[in-house]
Amino acid sequence: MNCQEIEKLMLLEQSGEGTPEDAGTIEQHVASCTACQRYRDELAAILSLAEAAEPSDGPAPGVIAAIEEEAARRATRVIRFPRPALQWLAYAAAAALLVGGWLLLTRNAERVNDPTRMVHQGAQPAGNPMSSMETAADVSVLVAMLADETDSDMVEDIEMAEDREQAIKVLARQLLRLQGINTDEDLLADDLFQPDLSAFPPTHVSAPVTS
Amino acid sequence: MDMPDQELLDLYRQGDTGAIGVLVERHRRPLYGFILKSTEGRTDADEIFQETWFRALRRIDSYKHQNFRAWLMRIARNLIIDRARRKKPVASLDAETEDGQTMAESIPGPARAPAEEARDHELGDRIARAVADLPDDQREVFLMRTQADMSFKDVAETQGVSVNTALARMHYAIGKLRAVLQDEYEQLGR
Repeated sequence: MNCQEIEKLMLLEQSGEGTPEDAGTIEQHVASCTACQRYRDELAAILSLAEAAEPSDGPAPGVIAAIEEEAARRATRVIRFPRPALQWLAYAAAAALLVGGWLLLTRNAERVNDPTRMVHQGAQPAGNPMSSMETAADVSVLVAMLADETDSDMVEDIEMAEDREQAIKVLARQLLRLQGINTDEDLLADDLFQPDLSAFPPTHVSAPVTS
Repeated sequence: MDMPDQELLDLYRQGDTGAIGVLVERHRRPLYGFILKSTEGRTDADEIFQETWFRALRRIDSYKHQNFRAWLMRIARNLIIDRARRKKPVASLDAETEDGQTMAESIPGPARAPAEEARDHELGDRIARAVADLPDDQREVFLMRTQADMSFKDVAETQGVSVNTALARMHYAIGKLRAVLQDEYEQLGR
């Protein structure tokens, strides 16, 4: 095993993830390697200094109080529907998705066909604020149709969404929830989980064309 | 023996709001330490800390992970990234806190002889600056390890990479921080 591999084993040992075999391998190597002896000393010094650098106190007391208040507020407003209601909601969600999707497509089609406006497909970057806001607003309409009283945060999330990717993620989550499928929140929140939005090319509506 | 996080979460779901207070206190220092060193001062850190918990509370019904702290850290990390994208320059440990100190200056010194304490304080300052200068991915790994005491397995899961990648990032970070200590070691004749 070379020095670099031994150094990584030292990191694992330090985090408590090393095995007894790893410890033996390290000791054997360090006994005859001054460079790795030095690495071990310096690693210990760096980690000790960094760990000592914790903030002397936590967040402001008001922050903790606000969290506890929010926890209490949420605990009292959770309303759980019995199963039949959930099934009914799932059917309603499917119907709403069909109707809402149709309305959305129709609206976009009308914009495209509107002779008084010019649509520049791809003329703007994906993050264009105008197109993002329009899409978020469109999605917001759908979510408002689908959201139930117990989860108005979904609508709030959409309204707060700064880009269409986020808006669509929230919509997807809500639809899955209404279908009785628990979503992996972390997966959806993961930066690596980027929905394929190629089916939703950004449309930007410019000022009316004057001839 | 302390009640496991999962049991406290179950208690909260059953209506025991006090359980959240226990969880907040349990994870306060590591979570806040990570956030504070990744953001621009206490005001930002307080906001992100609060928002992390608000989001956690909002999603608590669907929480099904094994490691609650890693989950919190992941929410915080996403918030920090979002904020950095909006604000641009990412946090610096040199940034002044509201009381006019830099992060490094707020480092508590060990109870030792004044000269030694001063030397460590200065070293801590230099390391804090070097940590702030690390590339984002390496700084995250370093802070998750040293501030939140997360395992490499949890760090890797939080960053969405393999354990080997997380280890490599830490290895690079340590390599850069060693350079900061180099002079000091030479002076000590080690």
